[in-house]
Amino acid sequence: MNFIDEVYEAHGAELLRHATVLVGPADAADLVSDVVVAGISDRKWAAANNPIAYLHRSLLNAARMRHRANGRRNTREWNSFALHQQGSTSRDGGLLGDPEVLQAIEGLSPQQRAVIYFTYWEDLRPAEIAKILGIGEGSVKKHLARARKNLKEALHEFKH
Amino acid sequence: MNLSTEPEKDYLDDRLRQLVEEMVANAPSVDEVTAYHPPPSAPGGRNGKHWWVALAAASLILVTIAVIGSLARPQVATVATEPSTLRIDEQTYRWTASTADGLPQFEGVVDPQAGKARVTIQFEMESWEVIDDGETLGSRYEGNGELFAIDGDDLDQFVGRWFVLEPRSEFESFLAVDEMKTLDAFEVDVWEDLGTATVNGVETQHLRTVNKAAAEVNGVLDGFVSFFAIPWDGALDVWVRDDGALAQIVLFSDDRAGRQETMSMSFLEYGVPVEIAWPDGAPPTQRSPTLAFDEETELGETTSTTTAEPGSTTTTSTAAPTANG
Repeated sequence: MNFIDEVYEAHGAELLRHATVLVGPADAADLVSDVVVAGISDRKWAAANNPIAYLHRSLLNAARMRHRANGRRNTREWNSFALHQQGSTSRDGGLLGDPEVLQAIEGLSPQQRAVIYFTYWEDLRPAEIAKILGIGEGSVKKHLARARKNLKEALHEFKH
Repeated sequence: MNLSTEPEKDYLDDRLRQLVEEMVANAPSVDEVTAYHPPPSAPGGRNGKHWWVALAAASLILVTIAVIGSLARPQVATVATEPSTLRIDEQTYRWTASTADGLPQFEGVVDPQAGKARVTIQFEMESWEVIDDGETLGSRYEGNGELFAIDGDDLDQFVGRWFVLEPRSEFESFLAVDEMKTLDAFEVDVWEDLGTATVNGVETQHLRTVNKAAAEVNGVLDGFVSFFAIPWDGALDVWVRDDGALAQIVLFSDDRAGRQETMSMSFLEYGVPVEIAWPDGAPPTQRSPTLAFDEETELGETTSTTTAEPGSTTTTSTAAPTANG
């Protein structure tokens, strides 16, 4: 097994989960692949105290670059996928089936998405998230607050 | 913005958790990734170089920073990674941010008249050399900055981020110029050319005005500066020199009293300070009693404020050009 395969076996699932939240399911595999291949050839990978955190930061940075490059052109990453994916919870009336929720998700910045992923999936505290993403704890809180605000209105229970 | 009750907050958290779980449920499997990812190349080897060249050529039309920042790294060596330092003069309200090893500074002003109580800056800078097949192509700086202006209890009044790159290759230069012309923006209402203006004694092109919640601007400053500004509810004016250098960015708050200039940032040329334009043409005469940093200030190792003697003239420290600059 080569080194890349070792990385995927050990961390692939969590990287893919994070990437899915960052860029949607259609682009998640590409994002992870690009980051892992680029990362393992980077000296900073070898020198990183926490290699997996380094990869998570790289995912976020790559997602941010992709977000800036594509602008409005990549804002439908969930719509078509959620409606056609076999067994998608959208067919069962889940939150992803709500167009307003999808629109709210697409309005989140990559940083906001990363923060809600680590908050609500990995159940990490802001201080822990800050260490992984290499940003300040205050920044984590701000991203989380903004994401909550953006998503709050889309969740019908909070409409006024 | 704060949720009114704890039960409502808890309920929102539950719904957000459900949403993230649904998103994660759609994640591809590891098998999907390993089935098609390209064969690994030896780090720094000739295969890595050819892969980079082919990919860079194929991506030329995309004109994205992603090509520079994340994909095109045949061999990189971290030259310096330093925490940032923030200094703010409490008399003139001019702030500067710089790295310990003298890499490019960023500076700006806070307008106390607009009621901005605090400024939080988180800033870090890295530089590295790009080496391709033993030849040093040049050096790059990449700075990640986040700037917050907080008005009273209303957090996230303003967020700005920026990157600085100093490419040397013709390929990268082409990308930067093209990016500058393509001011991609999110949720933008109005983009327009507003003619020319004189900034710091230099005629500049008043490039764009944005009146919307989010905007993205790319510019050039002795290399490349990419500025991503996301005013919460405001506007962004950008001045660009004839040679493409980003001269100044001015941000406005869009409050009920109309547009008020809240902050202007002039980007320093390496080793050359640039004057900062004040909203009303003169620095304030009274210091804001609430101008302070709290636990939200995160600047690496050092955070400090400077207090000028009354009546003294404040000067901006300059960044000495480094070997990589």
